[in-house]
Amino acid sequence: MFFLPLAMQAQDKYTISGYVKDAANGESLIGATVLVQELGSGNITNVYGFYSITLPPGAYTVEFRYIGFETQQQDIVLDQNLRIDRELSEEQTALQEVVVTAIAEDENVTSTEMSVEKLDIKTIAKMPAFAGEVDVIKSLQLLPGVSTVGEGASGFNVRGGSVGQNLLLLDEAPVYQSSHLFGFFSVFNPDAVKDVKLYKGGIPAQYGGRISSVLDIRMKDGNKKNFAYSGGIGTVFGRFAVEGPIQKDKTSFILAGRRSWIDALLKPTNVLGSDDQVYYYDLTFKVNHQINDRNQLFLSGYWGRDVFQFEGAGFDWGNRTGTIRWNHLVNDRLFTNFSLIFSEYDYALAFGEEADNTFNWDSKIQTVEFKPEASYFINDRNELKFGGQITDYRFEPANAIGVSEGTPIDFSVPDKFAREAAVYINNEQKFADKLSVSYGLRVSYFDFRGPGTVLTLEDNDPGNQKVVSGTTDFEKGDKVESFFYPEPRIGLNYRLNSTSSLKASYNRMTQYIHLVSVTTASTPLDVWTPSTNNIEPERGHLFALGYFKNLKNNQYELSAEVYYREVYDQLDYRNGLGANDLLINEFVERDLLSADARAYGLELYAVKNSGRLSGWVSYTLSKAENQAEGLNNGDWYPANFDQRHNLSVSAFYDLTERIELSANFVYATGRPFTIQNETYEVAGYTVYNGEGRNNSRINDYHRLDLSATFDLKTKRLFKRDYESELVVSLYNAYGRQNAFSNFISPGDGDFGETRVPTYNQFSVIGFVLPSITYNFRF
Amino acid sequence: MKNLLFVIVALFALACEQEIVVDTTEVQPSVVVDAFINNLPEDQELRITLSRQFYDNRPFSGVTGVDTVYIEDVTDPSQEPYRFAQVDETRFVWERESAADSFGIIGHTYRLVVEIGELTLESFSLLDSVPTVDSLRYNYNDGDGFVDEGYDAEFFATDLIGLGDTYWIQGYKNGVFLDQPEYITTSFDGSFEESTEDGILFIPPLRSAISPFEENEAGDGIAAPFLVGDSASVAILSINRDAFLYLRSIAAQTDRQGGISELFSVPVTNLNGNITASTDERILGFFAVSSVSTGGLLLTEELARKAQEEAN
Repeated sequence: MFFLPLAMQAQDKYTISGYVKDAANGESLIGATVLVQELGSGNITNVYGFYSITLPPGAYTVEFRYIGFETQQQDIVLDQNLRIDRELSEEQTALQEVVVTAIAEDENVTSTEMSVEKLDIKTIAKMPAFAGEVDVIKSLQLLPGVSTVGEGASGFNVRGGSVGQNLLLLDEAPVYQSSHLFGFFSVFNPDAVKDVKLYKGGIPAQYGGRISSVLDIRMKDGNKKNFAYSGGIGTVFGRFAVEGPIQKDKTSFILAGRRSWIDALLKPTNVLGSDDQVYYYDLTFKVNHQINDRNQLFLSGYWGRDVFQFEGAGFDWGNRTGTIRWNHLVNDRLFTNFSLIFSEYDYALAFGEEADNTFNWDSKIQTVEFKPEASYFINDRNELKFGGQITDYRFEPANAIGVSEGTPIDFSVPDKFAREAAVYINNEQKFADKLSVSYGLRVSYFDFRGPGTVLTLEDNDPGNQKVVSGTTDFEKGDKVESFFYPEPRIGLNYRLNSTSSLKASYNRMTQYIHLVSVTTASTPLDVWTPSTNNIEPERGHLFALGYFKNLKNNQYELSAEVYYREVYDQLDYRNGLGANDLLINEFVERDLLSADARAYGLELYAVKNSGRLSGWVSYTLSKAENQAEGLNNGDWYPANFDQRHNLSVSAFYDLTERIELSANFVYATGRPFTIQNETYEVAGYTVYNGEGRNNSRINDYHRLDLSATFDLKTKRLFKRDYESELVVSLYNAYGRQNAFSNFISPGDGDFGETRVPTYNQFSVIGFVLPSITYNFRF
Repeated sequence: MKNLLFVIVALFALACEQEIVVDTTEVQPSVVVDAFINNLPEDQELRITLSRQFYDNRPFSGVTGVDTVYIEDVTDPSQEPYRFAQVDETRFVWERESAADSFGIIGHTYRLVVEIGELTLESFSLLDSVPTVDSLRYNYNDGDGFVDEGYDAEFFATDLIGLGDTYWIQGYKNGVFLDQPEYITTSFDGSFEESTEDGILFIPPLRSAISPFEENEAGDGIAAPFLVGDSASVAILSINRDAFLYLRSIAAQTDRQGGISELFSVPVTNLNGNITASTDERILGFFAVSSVSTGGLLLTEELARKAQEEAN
């Protein structure tokens, strides 16, 4: 519809299109540059490795480039549409250089994208990691604008947004809980990850549903040429992955699994009883099949679980996702993809050793999503993207059955249902040599629907629990409340010269589902809840302005960005809630508040892309504040994760051909906490009072991590090359006791004794944590 | 759940905690009214104090110039108010006329009035009924887990018919109240949280919340809550919904176990009391009237044997 007039206007032109892949394994290369030398411009391959360029007839030289890979050139005579699929080979350098960002060399300057962080999985793998376990999410925390409330905390915070405001996509499937072991490790298996891209702003119109950021993780397709096996054993996980062709160059698969092995270690000891269990694992798989030149199918899935079971009490949780995708090239210029996505997060707890007195409780969020999308490469100046998304939600806040002296009692909270739909269109247009603009609109709609019983709430004293003044029953499919929001997105790039540019962007985002999380760090028990007649969608505006500059033939990338973020109706909580008060609670909406939030900051980033020494320095100066009627006398107060300064340095150094050293250094202003300077007694308890929320800060955080990777000699094993490496790392190398929180400890003393309360500082990791990991590949 | 956390802490004994000194700004003391009144056949006492600096360890001082303290029956104004006489700097006592007397009439609403010069403080509370404690029981624990060999206690009672009953459950060992914040136990209609279930037997975790779980002397586990010769008792107090929320927020604010559980603690907030003032002066504290039912059981050799037999 949109593209017909444009298609006609482009009749006397021809198109070069195709896929760019890695010659070694057939993996598509995301973000490779296809450059037409005569024009000095071209196209970047999309997430499936596809590109398309439409030009007037003529003779051209086309260059295919991807950082860390050898550039290829091809002379073409364009007198008809051409399909050129290319396979690029990795550069062979004397010393194996680290590639920091696997993106086109000057894409950061040329593209309209800004506020985007890309980390190559190879880079992530080389960074010193907590307990030696390579972790996608922890690595992101070293980038500008990304922070965490502390070690061991689940998720991450982007530009003053909360953990639940990030959209985490694993092969397009939303992941609702990103942690193993309560937050110490993330659920993404690095062996199966190909590409990681974090949108902190300038979020393209095809993404929606969260107001802070989008983390788009793409899984490997699986080696299309040869079978390959890889794995390793570290302090926490044992890992193994197998990938290979089912039909050479046409069909391939990857299956990657990880499992913690602490239980195996503990088995001989008496720590675990015979029925006790402690383990966590995840399985990631993907199959892709090239039907023909124009059609490709992908099937990918994730299955992860944490299991803890002790003395008649059990707790387990995990995500399951599945994505079926069909890439269809309608013609050389119209690329389409249709995705059917399933995602589920659930947890379950069970208590009680005797059958007469038990308690079983589980909770779940389940979504099914259909997402058609298209890219229309109109000409070398316009790339149009359009599509839609429809998501069905099922929320099961709590299914809870207690058995008390043999009598079952049902404490379940009724399920909730909702549907979200969106359509979007976005054009990326090069206006002149200097100016390119990406402009688009996403329109989203949300429908909170029956069956169910909804509450009518009366506002009493703001900040106190609201009063339920009535309930209304709704039948299946009845519309309870619906919302509709247009979300304009715009990004501008003004080229100052060939190595620098100015960029600006504006985003409006809407979030219809909310993570109810009262605790400092998000927990696996946190429940997602839809917007309802009592909960407004969260809306965010984000403005960003940036300067981008590359030096020394793109060896160095520099950027400076400022942002301002404004959020309406962010979820907040009334005073006095305990950690478990909102669980198995049918009336949870009584305790929720609508807050406004604002955040602004400056992000400086310098990257050295190649050479023996490579790495980056990132600095963020920022402020994040919230305000809600009923909290803090209605005054603005610092968000729990507000950090004034955040500096991180990541460095990689090739010591010899076989030894590589790397280091991270992090410095961050301590997070806020509330000093309660006043004490009094009531009901026999000593209680406290503070003036102003988050009126002080815990100690500043700083930490150095070191690691060394020893490339072990390649051996021959079963007629294959067996490569292996040993990674030795020190986390928190100078053993600083970084504060996670300051709190009033009630003091020692049994009941009936007098306790003297003290202020205590809690550190998650208060010492040097060494670890060794052995990795192999054959 | 506590055991679960205990093991996780043991497995990941990475965390550490240390005492620090924080900068506390000067506090302008506020009047605190601490008035939890019950209908046991006892004299009733309430306290009026001044709040103080966190690092000030002196006893709480009283408020000078308290003229009158009384509780009046709002439902039946013809009832004689309960007048509280000051007995020391902070304590005010209503003395019964006879040993059989007790406070209040179930179903009536009471108004607390405190007059301090020009300042009048007031608060309201309804005296609700409370279910009787049917029985107590001891359960044997073989000491295989973290808790030493011994017995824990469990009480049985059934929630009153009608939605919206809120209770405070207090446990006692050998007559000593389990007075630390980690023992604060509240119930909504016999379970933890408001739901549509009504009139149920108090659920198991509430029933066994009257046992103390304190570290043992060796420091390697939890001491047996009860041994032969000990006695367990329970008091169930009827409370209003605002008192239920208040007690829960006391627990949320003060029951900080530290260690890895800090990750999942709630950022601390102030308590919302229910005392209002005739001026805009800030007043802290709470007024609640409760009816009480109690029960107790001595752990005899015979009961211990029975508990062991049942466990096998």
